[in-house]
Amino acid sequence: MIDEDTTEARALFTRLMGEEPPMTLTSKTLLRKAHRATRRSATVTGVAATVVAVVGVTMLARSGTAPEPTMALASGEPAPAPEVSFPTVDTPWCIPGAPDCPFVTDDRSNRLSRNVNAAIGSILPKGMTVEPLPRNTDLGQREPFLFGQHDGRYYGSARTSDSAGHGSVSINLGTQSVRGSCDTSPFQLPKNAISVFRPTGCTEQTLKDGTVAVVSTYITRDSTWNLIVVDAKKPDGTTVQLVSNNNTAIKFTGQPATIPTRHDPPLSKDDLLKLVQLPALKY
Amino acid sequence: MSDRDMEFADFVDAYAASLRRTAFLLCGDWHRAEDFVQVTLLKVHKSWTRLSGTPLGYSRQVLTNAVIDESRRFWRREHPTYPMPDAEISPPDTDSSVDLRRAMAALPARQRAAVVLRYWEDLPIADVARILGCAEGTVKSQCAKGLAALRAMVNLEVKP
Repeated sequence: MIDEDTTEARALFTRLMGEEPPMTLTSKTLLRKAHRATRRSATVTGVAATVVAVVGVTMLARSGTAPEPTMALASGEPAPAPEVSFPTVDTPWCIPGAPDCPFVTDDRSNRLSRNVNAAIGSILPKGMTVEPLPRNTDLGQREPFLFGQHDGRYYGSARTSDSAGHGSVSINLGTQSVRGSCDTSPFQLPKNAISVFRPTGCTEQTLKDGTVAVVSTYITRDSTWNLIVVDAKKPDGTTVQLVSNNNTAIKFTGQPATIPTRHDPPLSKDDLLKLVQLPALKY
Repeated sequence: MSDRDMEFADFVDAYAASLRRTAFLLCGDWHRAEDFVQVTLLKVHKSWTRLSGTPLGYSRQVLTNAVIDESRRFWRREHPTYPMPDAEISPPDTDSSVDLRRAMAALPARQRAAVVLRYWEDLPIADVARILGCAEGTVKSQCAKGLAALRAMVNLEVKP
């Protein structure tokens, strides 16, 4: 049954449309454009893969050379640490499982979403909330974490907030190797994002549950974007990379999508070490 | 032509015009509406084999998101050009479609989308909520506010 509102609105819309111009779009032209886009996409992917491979080989080659000795400045201060390209988080920038999204959902991702959402509250500091990233909220995500699988690893991220401002935490989980120590392993080659960060510290520790964790901190050149990164290998073989940052969203380009609202990431190093030990983070 | 292309061509022939009307109501310009439909259908083609059921629902969602995303870009940000009801109202335009167009343009993009999907596409509130990614209550309030604003701005009689 059509109600009065619908009838009235339709009358308005029909008046608004007036004379409809002829359609120039046809299925034939659309198909031609679709095929051209597919070919172009394949070409771009090929070129991008080549560029990534070249950059990767260069980085790996550089990581294999002896480290340069620390230079002393005239003032006696040590030279600043070299800047590195750091793999920023491969955050689902879409709803995992949606047709256009490269992140797919499966039983494991569903289990991770369920368990992490249920457990995350136990490690949050008092006054801190966790919710979906704003962009994903717009797309219909309701739970803080919605894990998606891409290239065999599982990714989930959420916004963290307290009275001081916003930030985010991202979880990247799988069984592939992660950075095992502060000084021997090269940084993993970024897949989607390269941003220049300056390392500001690194520690290695074995946690109570046997997890081996490497905690690194980074800051951008303009000192506005801070990251705390935990690369961990759990006793059951699950490898986890956690990133807490003071920016509420990160685009695939690696550039901050918003201006940081606070200096420190909402989740501290200690919070991340509690998070990584949660049984919910299991491959 | 592959089976997929044939199915897609049938879909385009059947629904492109309807999608363009919806796009026009969302953006207010026939040329941009056709561009939005083209972008939408290219995305639908890319995902064709992964779509289950009718692709029309997915097309509506892609189209709506495309128009809303576009309206957020700063050079596209909309500025109401029509006096609000509580402002001094000048005599209405003699061309009622221009009047209506201004009224539609004054609605926020998501509110406009809610009104169009609910009343033009005649979608159930739950479907509109899914497309817009919000609660059903939000859709109801957006539709009521949007329709009331349209009524007020085109000087129609407001029903109790």
